[in-house]
Formats: sequence, structure tokens, C-alpha cells
Amino acid sequence: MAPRGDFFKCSCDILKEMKNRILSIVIGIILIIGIGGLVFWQKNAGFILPPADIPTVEPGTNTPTPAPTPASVPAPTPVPTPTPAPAPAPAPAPVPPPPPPSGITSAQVAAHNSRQSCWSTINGNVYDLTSWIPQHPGCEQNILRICGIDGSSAYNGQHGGSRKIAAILYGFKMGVAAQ
Amino acid sequence: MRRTQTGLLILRLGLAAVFLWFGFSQLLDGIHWVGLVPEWAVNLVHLPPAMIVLGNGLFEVVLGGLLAIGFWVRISALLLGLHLALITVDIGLSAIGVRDFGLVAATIALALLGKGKNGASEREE
Repeated sequence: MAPRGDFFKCSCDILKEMKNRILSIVIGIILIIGIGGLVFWQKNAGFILPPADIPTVEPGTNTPTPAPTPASVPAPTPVPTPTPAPAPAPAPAPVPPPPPPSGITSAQVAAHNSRQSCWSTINGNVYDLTSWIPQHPGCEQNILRICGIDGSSAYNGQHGGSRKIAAILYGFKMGVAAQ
Repeated sequence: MRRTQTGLLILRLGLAAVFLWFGFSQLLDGIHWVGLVPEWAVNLVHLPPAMIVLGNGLFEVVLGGLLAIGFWVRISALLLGLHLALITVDIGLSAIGVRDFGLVAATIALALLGKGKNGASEREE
């Protein structure tokens, strides 16, 4: 018959093991929820609403300018030989205004030249690099330097020819730069 | 002995945090990861890159979670280590690649050491 002391010692060990196990599970769950919450918060904190000034290509809605109404001409005084009033010159055809530029203009890109909103034109496309600034493996300055301007030469000089980098950049594409 | 256990605990929770962070990031913000899916992976599984990102994220969250709670630590660490090793090879010799190599080494070390006495699994590893 085992001594009573061994029985209590075994019970204590089992309790201790259970306690460690439960503690481990609790710490693990806290870690999972904490990391998930952190990622969720980070994603929402860095979320930027699409700016309202992105031009949308709309069908022409221009209405032709109305033809000018001829000014009222007073009745001519009667003359023996009435001469016919000269025919009014035909109104010139209204010149349609130029169509709005399709794509994002350089002025719009230039307006987003800060850490809070960083757009750049690279090889004919416009990219929103705001969320990429803290993630860039090179320092943040390399991205901040091209905010609001055409960063093609900087990009091509550093990453030209890299399909992998091009694939990453593609994820930030907003649209095509206006010609 | 106590320091060893504490060290193992820190290693396990630290690595779990890393994999959980990347896993959740892929699940919640997959658009930024689509560009990183290599072509050979797309050709291998014949699925769109977005689905591969979601699957990868789920894989990392599940195994990272197992690491976090200390369940099946060795097998989880081994799978995550091999998975990260593939990614590291694909990234190549760069700042990110070198950092990931360090993570691979730590994860494989955890797979070899096990969880010690601090995990939830019944078996002593």
C-alpha cells in the first residue's frame, strides 16, 4: 500500500500540471485575441477613404450654348424705296469645350504629397503609397521623397526590372495618369 | 532549469505573435499580399492568388494559435518553419530575407526543443 504522503504528492503534481496547462491556454488565447485586435485596429486606423476628387470619366453632358437672339430692330422709317434689311450674319457654331482629361492629373497627384496622403505617378500609373511608407524595407524617406510627383525615375533606378516589386506596387494602383 | 523554461516560453510566445500577426494581416487585409504570391504557387495549386493569401493566412493563424496555447508545439513549429523557409528562399538575399532566415532558425529550434513544461499539451516534450 502506497504511503499517504505519495498520494497527496501526486495530487499536488496533477493540480500543478492542470494549473500550468490552463494558464498556458489562457495566455495563448489572450495573445491570439490581442494580435488579431492589433491587426484589425491597425488596418482600420490606416484606412483612407477614396478621395472625392478622383475624376470619373463621364459622358459629355455639355449642352450647346443657345444661339444669340437677334437684338430687336426698330421698324425702319418708311422710305419710297425701301431697302431690304441686311440679313443678319449667321451665328457661329458653338465650340464644344474640350473633354475633361481622363485619368488622374498631375495637379491632383501633387495635392497628395505628405505622409498622411502620398500619391505618386510611376510609369504612367498613379499609386497611393500612404500605407506603404512604414512598410518600405528601404527607409521611409525613399517613399516620402516621391510623394506628389512623378517617381518613375527613382523607382526604375532602384527597382527597375523586378517583377516581384512590380507585383507589390500593383496592389497600390489607383488609376492611370492623365496624358 | 527555470530560466530554460522561461526562455522556451518567451521563444514560443514570441514566434506565435509573429505568425499570428502575419496570418491575421493576410486574412483581414489580403489585397496588399496578393502581389507577393509567387507564380509557381499559383501554378501549383491552380487557385487565384487571393485565395492562396486567405489559405496562407488561415494556416498561419491556426498554427500560430497552436503555438500560442502550447498545443502540438513541435509539429506546429516544424510546419511553420518549413513554410517560412520556402518564403525566405523565394524572397532571396535581402533585408527581409535575412530577417526571415532568423525566424526560420528560431522556429526550427523551437520544433527541436519543444514547449518544455509551459504548454497545454499533456505530453512532456
